[in-house]
Amino acid sequence: MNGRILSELLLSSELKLALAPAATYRTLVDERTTGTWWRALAHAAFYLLLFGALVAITATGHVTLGLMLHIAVSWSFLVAWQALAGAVIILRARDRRVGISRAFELLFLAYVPWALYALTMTALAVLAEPTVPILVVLLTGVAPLIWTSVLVARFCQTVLGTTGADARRLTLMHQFVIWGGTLGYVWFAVGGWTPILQTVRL
Amino acid sequence: MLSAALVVAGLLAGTWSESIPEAVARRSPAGEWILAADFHVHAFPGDGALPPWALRHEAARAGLDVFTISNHNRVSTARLARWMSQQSPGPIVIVGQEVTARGFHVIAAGIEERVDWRTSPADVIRAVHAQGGVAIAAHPIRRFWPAWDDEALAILDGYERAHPVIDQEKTRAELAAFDARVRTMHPGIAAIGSSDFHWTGSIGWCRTYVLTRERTRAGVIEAVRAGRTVAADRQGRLYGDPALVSAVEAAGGFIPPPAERFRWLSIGFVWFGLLGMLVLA
Repeated sequence: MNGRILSELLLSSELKLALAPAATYRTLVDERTTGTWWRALAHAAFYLLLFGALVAITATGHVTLGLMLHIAVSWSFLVAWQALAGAVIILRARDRRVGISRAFELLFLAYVPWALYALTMTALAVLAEPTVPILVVLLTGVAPLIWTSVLVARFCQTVLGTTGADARRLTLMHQFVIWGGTLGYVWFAVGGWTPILQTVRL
Repeated sequence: MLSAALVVAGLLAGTWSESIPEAVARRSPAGEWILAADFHVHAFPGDGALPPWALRHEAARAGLDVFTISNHNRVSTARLARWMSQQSPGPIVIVGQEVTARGFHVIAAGIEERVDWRTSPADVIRAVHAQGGVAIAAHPIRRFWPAWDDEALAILDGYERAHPVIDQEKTRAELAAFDARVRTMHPGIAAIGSSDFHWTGSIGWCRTYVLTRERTRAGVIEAVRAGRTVAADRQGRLYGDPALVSAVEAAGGFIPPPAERFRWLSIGFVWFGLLGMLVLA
């Protein structure tokens, strides 16, 4: 009992959600909150700054305020893309139990597995010599992928009020948008778009 | 609050302890400038982590005088970086492309327009030369060897003798084998050290010392074309023509980036702070 009270007091909503998604989402849906657009933006900004700081560490072996902000601003389209993927499922839900801004805020909480994964990989990159093999990065990435999908499915059921089957469908749609965008960027980054850009003379 | 304070303290410590080495004016016994260069760097937008403006700052921090942005089959980011570099002092930025084909990769440095990769290595090299650039065989490990025929090797300007893969025994031997083959055919070819920087390691991890008559882009390209380079790996081992290696050693050899006093402290504070912000109420 004491342990439970302690964890209630000490653990963040993100971690509680990661460990007990359905119960935590139920509690969060019942909470009365104000200013949720700001809170949604604050969650997005936190993930962006976390990304900026961790990339600075892995890419340069140090971290400064300027470097973190440069990286965060450069890659801010990632958060916009996450918001777009969120909009695809949130705006379709007719039985949503919270307002739109609160729904975005609660969806952003579901990215905690990726944040924990990024922290772990950064620690490995800093400590491993010379680098963490790319195969290790890709294979271990399956864990946050599945974990996040479970959280998004719970979000759909508990916050958007969908059935289990619809939750699975929306989760697939959400992940499809995110990974479609990611693969599109990777394809662009390795020059895959070049023939298309040449065709349209860009 | 404590977690956020840790992050802020870490960022301040990192910012405060950051050191940018002063550009060292080193000369070879023959009077050439010895410039530290990295010809293989990826940038954002592209598959690099850092945008051009942050990359140039990091290049200066790594003690580089010159670097080439060489994204895969694209030159737009490199051109943007060069334009931005003209607004302030700092390392010279050279426009480049990693010509990325199925069986080979070539660094095209000193070009203006994208080079078509859907052809043979020899034709890629000729296209690079037609633009006034130099062509460097990128990470020529075993799986790329079949593409490197004698025709291509005869007109190649340089090859990556030092690349981060040199840290692994198998690929170190493969780079050495390519070196032996190419030098038999083309003794004056430029030995290049590159970081192939994307998301990890750091820019200038492996580097090239260019012995150039003038501290300009054109001077650097001319020196590579003439083979006046020495490759360095991150342990400071030098590779290339023994006379040029001696010249670089006489001028002080490999100069590692300066150590930053609070680097580990700042990384630790930021990392634990972010973890705390994520998992603690």
